[in-house]
Amino acid sequence: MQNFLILIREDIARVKEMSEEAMQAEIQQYTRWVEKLAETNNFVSGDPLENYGNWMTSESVRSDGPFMESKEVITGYIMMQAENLDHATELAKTCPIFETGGMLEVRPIMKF
Amino acid sequence: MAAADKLSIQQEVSRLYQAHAGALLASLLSYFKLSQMEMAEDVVQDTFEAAWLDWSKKGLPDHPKAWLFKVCKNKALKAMQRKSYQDRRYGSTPPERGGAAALDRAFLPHEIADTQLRLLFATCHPDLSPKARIMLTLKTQAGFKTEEIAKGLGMQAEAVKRQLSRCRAFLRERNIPLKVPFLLQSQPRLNSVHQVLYLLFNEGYYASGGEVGIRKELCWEALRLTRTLLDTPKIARGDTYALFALMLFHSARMEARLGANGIMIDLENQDRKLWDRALIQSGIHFFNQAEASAGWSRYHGEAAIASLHCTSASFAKTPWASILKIYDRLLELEDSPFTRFNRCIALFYGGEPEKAVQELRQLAPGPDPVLYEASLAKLYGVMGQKERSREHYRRAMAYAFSPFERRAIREKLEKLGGGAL
Repeated sequence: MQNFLILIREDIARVKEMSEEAMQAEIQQYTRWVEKLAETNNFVSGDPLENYGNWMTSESVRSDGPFMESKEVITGYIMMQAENLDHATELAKTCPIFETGGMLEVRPIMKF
Repeated sequence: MAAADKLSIQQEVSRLYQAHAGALLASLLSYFKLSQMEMAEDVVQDTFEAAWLDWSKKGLPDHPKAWLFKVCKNKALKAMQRKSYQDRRYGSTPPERGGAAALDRAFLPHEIADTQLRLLFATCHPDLSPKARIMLTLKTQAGFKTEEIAKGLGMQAEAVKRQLSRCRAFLRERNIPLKVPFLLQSQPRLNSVHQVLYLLFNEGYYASGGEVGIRKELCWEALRLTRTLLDTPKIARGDTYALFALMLFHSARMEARLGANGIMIDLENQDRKLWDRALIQSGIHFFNQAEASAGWSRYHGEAAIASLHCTSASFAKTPWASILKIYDRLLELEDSPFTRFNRCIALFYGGEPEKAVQELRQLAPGPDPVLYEASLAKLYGVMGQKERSREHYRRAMAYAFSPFERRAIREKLEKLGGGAL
């Protein structure tokens, strides 16, 4: 078993405009998804991110980062354990994010 | 060591258990995972047994709480090492836990508070029965022992044990995670938490079985946990405030409800001077906050009714018309036999006794036939229909199990006169 970081990216404008009902429906979906991952012992941890933050370089600190306007803002992460990258990818395919047009990044945690 | 010292150490150990067993268990569960509840419970029990053995020989340490946390951590590490060794021996890979550093993190004060809250939301899982959720809550949040849960809920210890072991199996088989992203924001889950705390309070407040001391603790525990929801502003909603207010209004009357021999005194006959004014004031404060928020729930309605009772100078001055309106609104929200039953009582004292009794007779006795029959008996008594009153008290007696109820009914029958049972 190996650990994988799943970065969840989506259009932040969509997230900001969501109604309370839509938000609650999504929470239900994600809860079920995470419980399923946990049932097969693949879920390790995960958290949603606030939709604000600071983007820093050696010269500047900006609160409206270069990605804030894009459709690819990281809105959360999941840490899962899987046999290998293929397995992790198969598991990630079941993520509800694809129903709302978002995208995922599946990255093995380096281990040596 | 002198016997008196031993006694005081024993008292101190049980006080520390009440204060910290829940926090220790939560920390361990965030380290071990929910699926290993039994192991976490064993470590907590071992810790307090070790404290008792060590302290009764050497006396109290300078910082008993720090002692407990340190010993608990060491025992957890050892238990984990044993488990990993066994897992490897039987060919399965032990999950990574990050060793002592991760365990230290699990014991940080702000982590403990967060974990306890997440644990509450995790154990109020919709796939568990409400009763199972209550037991798990008592076990994991307050460190109640199996016998205490049994006494509090008026159940057999064996039945509680069986139910708890089914709960542990559910958590293990489904591998329910403690930290599900977004779960603290889930409104249906918050509804379930509210319901569990409401039922927990009611078990303590209304149930006819169980021991008085333990049942009061159920009420305090429900109040304490509701308070932790209120202390998390992102979680608390208007109905959380209403629920808390409702519990405060009821708690204000707790002492006055309890007669000298454990018999419940009904609202009409309570000594209102015994009602706790500070709790009523506090209830009003939180009720106002509930009213200021959007939405109206059954907790708003029940708190409103309780507040009207609490602020009436006497039973005769109860504003029944206002109460009746609130019951109508509650029925619109959710039609339940319990609400219909209470509405009939309000209708009776509100000036329509004939109609109220007629409506009451149309309701089925429901899950609490003792209360149903005894209430009908009482209302007939108020109307001067002694024979009917006696008849319904006799029916109530046929259903009554607890010695408190039986004694209370016997006293009523004796007052009515006209022959034995």
